[in-house]
Amino acid sequence: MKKYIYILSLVIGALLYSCEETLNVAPKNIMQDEAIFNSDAGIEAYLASLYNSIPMYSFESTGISWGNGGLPAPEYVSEMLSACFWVELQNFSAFFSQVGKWNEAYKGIRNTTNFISKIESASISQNDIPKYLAEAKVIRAWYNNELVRLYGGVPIITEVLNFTGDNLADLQVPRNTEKEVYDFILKDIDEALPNLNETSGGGRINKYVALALKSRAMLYAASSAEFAPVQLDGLVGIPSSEAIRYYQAAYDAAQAIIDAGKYSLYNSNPDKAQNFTDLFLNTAGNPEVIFLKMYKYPERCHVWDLAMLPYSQRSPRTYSSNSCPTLEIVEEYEYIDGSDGKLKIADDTGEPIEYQDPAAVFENKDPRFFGTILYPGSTWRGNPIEIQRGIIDGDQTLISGVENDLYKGIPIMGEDGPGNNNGLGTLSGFYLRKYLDPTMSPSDVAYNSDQDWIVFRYAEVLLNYAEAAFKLNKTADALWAINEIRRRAGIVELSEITEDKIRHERMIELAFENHRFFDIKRWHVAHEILSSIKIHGLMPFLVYHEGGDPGYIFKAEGIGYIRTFHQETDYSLKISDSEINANPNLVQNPGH
Amino acid sequence: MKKIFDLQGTVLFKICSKKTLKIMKLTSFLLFVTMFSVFGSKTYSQYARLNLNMTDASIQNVLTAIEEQSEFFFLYSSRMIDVSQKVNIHVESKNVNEVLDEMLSSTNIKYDINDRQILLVNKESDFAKKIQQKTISGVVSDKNGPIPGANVVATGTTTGTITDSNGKYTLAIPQGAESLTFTFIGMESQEITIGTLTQIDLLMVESAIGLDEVVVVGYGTQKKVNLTGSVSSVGNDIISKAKNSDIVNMVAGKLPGLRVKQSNSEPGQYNTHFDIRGWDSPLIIVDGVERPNWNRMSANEIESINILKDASAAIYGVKAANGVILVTTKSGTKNQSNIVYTSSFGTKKMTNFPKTLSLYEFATLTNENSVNLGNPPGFSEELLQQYKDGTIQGADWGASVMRDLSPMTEHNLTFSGGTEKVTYFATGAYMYEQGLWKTGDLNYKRYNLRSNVTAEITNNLKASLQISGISDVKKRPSGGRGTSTIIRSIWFQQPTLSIYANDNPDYLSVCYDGTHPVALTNSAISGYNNIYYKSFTSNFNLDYNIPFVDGLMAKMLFAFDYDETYTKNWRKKFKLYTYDAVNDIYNSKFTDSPSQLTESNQALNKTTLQLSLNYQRTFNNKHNVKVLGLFEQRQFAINNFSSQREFSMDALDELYAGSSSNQVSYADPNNIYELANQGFVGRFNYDYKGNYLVEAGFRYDGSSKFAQGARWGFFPYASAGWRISEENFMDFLDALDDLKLRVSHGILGDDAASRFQFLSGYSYPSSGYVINSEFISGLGFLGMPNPNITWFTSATTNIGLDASLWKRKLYFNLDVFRRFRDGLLATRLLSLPGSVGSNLSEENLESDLSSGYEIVLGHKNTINDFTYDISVNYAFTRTKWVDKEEPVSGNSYLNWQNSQVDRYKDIWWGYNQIGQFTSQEDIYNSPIQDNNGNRDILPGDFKYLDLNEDGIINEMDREPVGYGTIPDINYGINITMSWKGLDFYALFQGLSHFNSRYGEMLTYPLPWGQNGLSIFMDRWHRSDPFDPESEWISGKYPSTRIPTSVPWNYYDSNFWINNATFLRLKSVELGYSFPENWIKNLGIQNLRVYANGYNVFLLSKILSGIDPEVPSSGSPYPIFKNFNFGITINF
Repeated sequence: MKKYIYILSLVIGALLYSCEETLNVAPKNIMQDEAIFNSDAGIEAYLASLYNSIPMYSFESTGISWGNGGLPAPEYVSEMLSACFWVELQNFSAFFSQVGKWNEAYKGIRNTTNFISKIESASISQNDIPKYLAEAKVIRAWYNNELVRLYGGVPIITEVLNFTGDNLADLQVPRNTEKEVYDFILKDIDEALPNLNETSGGGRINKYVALALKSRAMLYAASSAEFAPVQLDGLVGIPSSEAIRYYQAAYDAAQAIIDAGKYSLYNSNPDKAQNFTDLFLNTAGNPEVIFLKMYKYPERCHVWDLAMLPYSQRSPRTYSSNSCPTLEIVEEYEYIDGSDGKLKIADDTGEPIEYQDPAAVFENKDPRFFGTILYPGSTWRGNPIEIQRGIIDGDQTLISGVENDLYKGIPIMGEDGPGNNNGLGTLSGFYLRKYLDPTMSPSDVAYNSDQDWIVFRYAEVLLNYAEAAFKLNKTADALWAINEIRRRAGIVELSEITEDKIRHERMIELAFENHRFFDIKRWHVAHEILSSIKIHGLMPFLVYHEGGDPGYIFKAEGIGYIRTFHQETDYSLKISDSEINANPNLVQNPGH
Repeated sequence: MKKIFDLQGTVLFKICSKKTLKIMKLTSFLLFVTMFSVFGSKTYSQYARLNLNMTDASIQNVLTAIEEQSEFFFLYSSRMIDVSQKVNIHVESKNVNEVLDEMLSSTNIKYDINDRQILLVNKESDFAKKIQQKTISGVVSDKNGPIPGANVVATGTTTGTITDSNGKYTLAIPQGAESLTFTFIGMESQEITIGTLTQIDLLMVESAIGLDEVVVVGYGTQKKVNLTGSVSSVGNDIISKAKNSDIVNMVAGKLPGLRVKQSNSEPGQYNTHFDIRGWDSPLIIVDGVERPNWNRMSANEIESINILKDASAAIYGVKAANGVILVTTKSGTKNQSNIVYTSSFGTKKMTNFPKTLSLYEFATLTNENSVNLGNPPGFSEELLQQYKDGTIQGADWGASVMRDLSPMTEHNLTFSGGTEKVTYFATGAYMYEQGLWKTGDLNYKRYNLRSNVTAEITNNLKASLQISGISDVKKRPSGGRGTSTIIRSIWFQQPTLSIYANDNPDYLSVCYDGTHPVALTNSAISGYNNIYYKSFTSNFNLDYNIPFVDGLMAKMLFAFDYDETYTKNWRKKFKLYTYDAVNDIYNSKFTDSPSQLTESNQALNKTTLQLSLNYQRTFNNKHNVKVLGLFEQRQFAINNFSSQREFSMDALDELYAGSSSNQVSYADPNNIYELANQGFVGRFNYDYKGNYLVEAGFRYDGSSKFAQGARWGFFPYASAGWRISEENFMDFLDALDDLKLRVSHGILGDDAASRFQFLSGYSYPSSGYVINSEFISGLGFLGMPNPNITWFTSATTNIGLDASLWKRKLYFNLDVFRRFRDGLLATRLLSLPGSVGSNLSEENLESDLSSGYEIVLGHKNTINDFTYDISVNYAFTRTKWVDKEEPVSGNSYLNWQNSQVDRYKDIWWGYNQIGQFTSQEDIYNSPIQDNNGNRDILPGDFKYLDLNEDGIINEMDREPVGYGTIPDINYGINITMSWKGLDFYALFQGLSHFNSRYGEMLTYPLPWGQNGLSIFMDRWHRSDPFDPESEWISGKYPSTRIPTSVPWNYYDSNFWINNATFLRLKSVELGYSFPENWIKNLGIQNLRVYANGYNVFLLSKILSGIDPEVPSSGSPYPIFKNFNFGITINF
């Protein structure tokens, strides 16, 4: 018996070797400041997170509007020019509520501020510290720029705020004025500039990236001062007296980039349309690229091709046709000779003009049109884009919702639509070409696109320069910059410059790059341009000739609902109710 | 040994307690023999030596002392033996005969020793025999044959006898006796009127839930009569009366208080929702150890399932706040050997499946959609006519891939038994189940093995080892696309397309999405997703009777569990074709490339150690005391990784054959962690004569989830019971067998917080960024740390009443409970401005209150050979917020809409749909709901109540329109019947107070422009689809338009939020056991054949074609009904 007692106590003793110690379990994926700030790799990882949260309005794999579901994410704001967006747009307020990234931006600001406060005592090479510090300040300016252009003045947060249990009032920071925020952005960038490198690898901030951001931000500030009414004691809007100062800052920043001579417009292919297509795909070594958001398969991919491919070229993983340029934007593209871009689809009496080749109606358009948009009769990767609404045979107009429905052996509907009422294929008669990757066969397209997104390019700097110069009465500078762009585009140069022409050039050059919507907002013309408007598509019909070759005519058709941009409410975004409730010191934007 | 004594004692207790006074005055005889057969040597009584030194002790105390010193146990009836007589006894190292002779010499008690079992009877019994007059004889048997040792007593007297080894008895009846009462342990007692009979043969029936039943409670067992907590239990006989791979589905409706809602019937899915009283996930304890993966257990290895529903669960500490499910596996019986083979074969069929639109219906709705949106119709009138009259046939996608019936089968072989020192139970089970697809590529296979062996190493030391292994494989086609994707694809492929290009089965036709149902249901074409699961669990126990201290026992349990889930996902590229009729060639259009193989593995390791001391003793024959002290430590670690490669050549589906470019290695950091818990447990039970019962206990628990200062929590509980039926003042109610009042209250702790919220810092890796063409993983930023985060507590109160009447012909249980949880975790996110830029960690901020009740009401009876038992159980529970972290609303209306404080949790908010617009005039005179002056609205669109009367239908008009998705009310009706060899079981299960809001294809007609479900034919439409001005014809649904263009029709409203209440015949089984004499020659002891059905029929008001238990969203795998035929052979 004793033997067993002995064995038993031995076993119990062995198993009870530890007590409280057992409960001290270390986390497997949590690191502290020491681990991060004492190595370059840790700091690079920190910076990667900061960069990753910057709202760059690129293509992202999340938030894209699939088919008929939901609203598009802010990355797709420029689809204001796109029919698919329009159909889904219920109203601008609802859209705005999707855009608002208040909390995300402030998380970024907090993390950047935390970085700034700790980097100076990091145990790394002392030479690198000012560079990292400068990089972080530009990133913080970028977050603040995003907030101010959506909301107007916002609270400026310069230190890491922590809740200690009884300091809630200290955390309820009131809004600064819009002017104060823009000046804070200016200050962060100006402090950073001396310590930034002249060059950097793709996707990383250097001196010229900071200058490009500065010219863009200051142009927004200047527009706000010039066009927006000052409301709420300057929380929204900037006194107009500040306009010239900001235009000057925008002009100077752009001038600095131009003078450095490191960047030029991409001009490698004598075929101007192809050149404009290549500009967005040949990003490596591209002299026009100032800042890239880079992607790399398989770690970091997007779905641009999957979402945007024409219906007939779509990936087997479904989704296609997510952006369909409207007839309105198509007609904005001038002809090479500089004449008005209206399409000649009807003669003076209003009778439709019949074309043998549907592509003929687009002849002599601005080459940038061909580099940006896929249209009826165009090809992609050697495949024809078949856009056909129906067949006209004498008095009879045939339309079919079935893909392979034939009339006298001819498909009634084009393989790429339009006409399938349920949103497959284009709605407007056009597809987007910009950024589409021609090297990938559609069947390989999945959640795997990795072409880079150009965040800042030299052309934008020239456009910023032209706009600021014009306002500063330096019309020669403005004309030069616009003509630089038109020459590269392959369209006749201007002999004189106006504000309208600068704005028009900006719309065409930067189409679908997520500028237009913010531009018409900062110019305060959105409520005029988007006043009870309905958008249109271009519908090609095959004209059947018994025994002869068919012809094509085009009809413009309204698509989607009428939408209105409301002057009172849609210029400045509503601060969410929960944020107003959590911070009684916040003043809500006008109209909300 | 103690257990057996307790069993006997209980029955005797019952007999004794009711008419004790009367009986004790009489001297008569009654023989009482145990049910336990006697085997083996009788030498124990010769060599066992006893030491006793007791003065003026009751006989009962002496007997107890003997039992504690030895392996002897005593059987006697307190009706005939007065064990309270005082005796003196002083012996040293005497054998039991000598001791008993000495002690009983001065009494009228004589004894009979049978191995370790000693029977005490009254010496006067022989004398009493002489004065009876009439004699009755007969045979007592049960379904397995004659019962030796059954009690036969002339009712109301103490005259009785026991049956002999052939079940025969002869009894002389005293004058005045009118009936005989037959009793036997584990059987229903029966009373038969004598009248003029001289022979009474009786068939006894097993008692389903006898008072003597032992139930498993925290770290031990307890007699059901002595329970003070709220416990439900179900035994193997009832569990196994259903056929399903998931044990949770097999117990649905059988345990009051356990809520079960099946989600789908996909083989091997194991996603049935279950909870206790509507709380969060309960703690699952299998053989004393936490084992959440219990749903894969084989029903044949389970002895019983008990659930602890109130504060008595507190003893389990961590997570027990949501109740505890205790599963006990079987063990062998001494001196027996059994071989049992069971097998069943069955087939399954969908309970409900919605119909898709036919070709004609599809074309009609598509045209209407165009016209309603102001566009010309796509299909011409001629085409429609051809569709309608069948000249042109549409594709039937469902029939191309779905089978009507899918098979399932099960085999099980069990060896059990034991010798004097060793018992064993070993079982092996195999089951196979097929899914919905014709290809058979969706299937599930499972193997279960278990071995439970117990050995008495010495008289005082017992060791046991319980080992179980489970291995299963779940195979699904199509390389990781969920089954719901495939079902959706079947629903939405247009009937205008053809399944095969040019109807040539070698060429799959191009179809929408590339999700060709024929390809996706075929592993050879589209690849597969195979999940291999393996689990190993083991318990090693040592029980040691500490000598020199009566009733003290030390126990140790060490358990080691390991399980592993290995997934192989092979996504294969495939081609779809179009047919070029002019050139007679097939063009391949899209291939889903490149082929990809992903293999991933997740493994978890767990150890549990329990050390305990148990003390149990009875003092003065009245005071029963039990004490438990226990230390427990659990450690848990989980790990995972996965790898993926792409394949240009896909003949070999192995990683080594893939391309190294673009390969990915990955691990999920959220599933790599360790946890540890420690707990100290104390429990004290006391009862006075079994009438007044008290239990109190505590658990002092530590969790690694919390910082050092906030780590430990103390959780006490107490409960009490009063067996009212044992009181003298209840004697007037003869019919009352048992009446007990139970009350319990306790505070339980829950450590359900995320880990390491007391730390600040960064998680890694998190979303990254590409810098200079190199991907750099980023950091995740933790919220502000909270070093004070700690346990939240549940104060649980339960009041219960158990009653049984007329020899348990009527039985009744009622439990009323209330649980207040405090310190629930929440973040102050909403009260901290977003401009701070960080979330707080969770804090112990919120509280909620659940309350409810459970009722069981049953009736059972035996009429000649026919025995039946019908019971109904009903449970209701709801939970409301008491404190909730939420923003202050701007006004009282917003507060009413948004505040959840003091409001039930399961409330569905939505619009009040008051009808459909009937005319343009109606539309223009109604509140605006499309943000566009109602210009976009058509007749048939939904009309809503303008709750705040502001002329606009918007968010502000929402009000409560339904319950949540988990039912508040659960009920079940259990019916068992037997007649001769036939037995029958039926279970009705019902759920109520819950709603379903269906999405996607169950809400939208023509989703994504593709085919939809035929329910949407019942819609508003023009009488002439080609005339946009023709009159409207009304229907249930709005006129057909792209859903996103008419969002107002799809708001959450009382229209879409369906009442999902249902009642279904969950299980039904009919069995037949062959008479023994037919099968004896075959060497078979018992042979039973049966047929059963599962989910047999359904009553519900839900959307046609949908089972009310399927989840609300998407296109889930349907719920199936099963029919099985089985056989059980006991050799």
